Amino acid sequence: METLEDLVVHHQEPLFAFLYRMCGETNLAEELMQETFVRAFEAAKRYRPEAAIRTWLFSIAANLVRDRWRRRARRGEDLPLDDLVIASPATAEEDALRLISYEAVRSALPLLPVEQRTALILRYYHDLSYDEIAHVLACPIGTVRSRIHNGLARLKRLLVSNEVIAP
Amino acid sequence: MKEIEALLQQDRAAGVPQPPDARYTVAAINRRLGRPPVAQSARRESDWLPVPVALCLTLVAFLYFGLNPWFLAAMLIAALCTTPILLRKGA
Repeated sequence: METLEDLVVHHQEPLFAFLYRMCGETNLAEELMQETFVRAFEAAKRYRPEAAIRTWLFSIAANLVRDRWRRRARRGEDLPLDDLVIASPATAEEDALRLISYEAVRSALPLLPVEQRTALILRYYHDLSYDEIAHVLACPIGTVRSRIHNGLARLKRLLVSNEVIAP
Repeated sequence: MKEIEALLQQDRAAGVPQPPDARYTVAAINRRLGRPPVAQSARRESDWLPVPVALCLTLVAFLYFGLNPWFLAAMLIAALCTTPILLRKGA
């Protein structure tokens, strides 16, 4: 097991990128990244070398995001996905300011259900294998495949409804 | 789906904001863990390192010049007694 300093130097960049894409907020990503390292440091004795440290850190981070989202949902802070899909029609000004496609993807990602979002981000942004994602999410590989498939489909619906891509 | 995958690739290539400096992150984590900052503890260790080195060198010098090594022990005890007083006075 690396020291705390080594752990941060080697892993904070991918971890921050993962959390930023999961949350869409820099401050929250930073806070959750620190919390991930704290949890990892406290649970260092439970770390099993058969899992890569990166996978282990992603799994702690994914759990923290899931907990945070649940708390937000309980407090009613989350905008339900279906409401967002049928958002009010954009005005001409809004159309003019419409984000270019990949930025629209970035904005849409945090609106996906947290399990689908985690699987998509780990697969497409961090090149984790299905097996590694299954380890992070503590679920069978088949579930990972269906989450990625459903996540892509949901993302497409979101982008179509926001007229970023054609149906 | 290919179109969505291509957009994900574009978003990935566009990158994300950089995380804060690693030293800042380590300091923040240490604060959360209730540990002293790394730089401070490292400095403390290096501050005390010359003390045993100086003691060893003095002992060797005492033996070389044929002086009584017990005199060094007496000096050490005197230094231990006066250090807290001097530190409190900011000397």
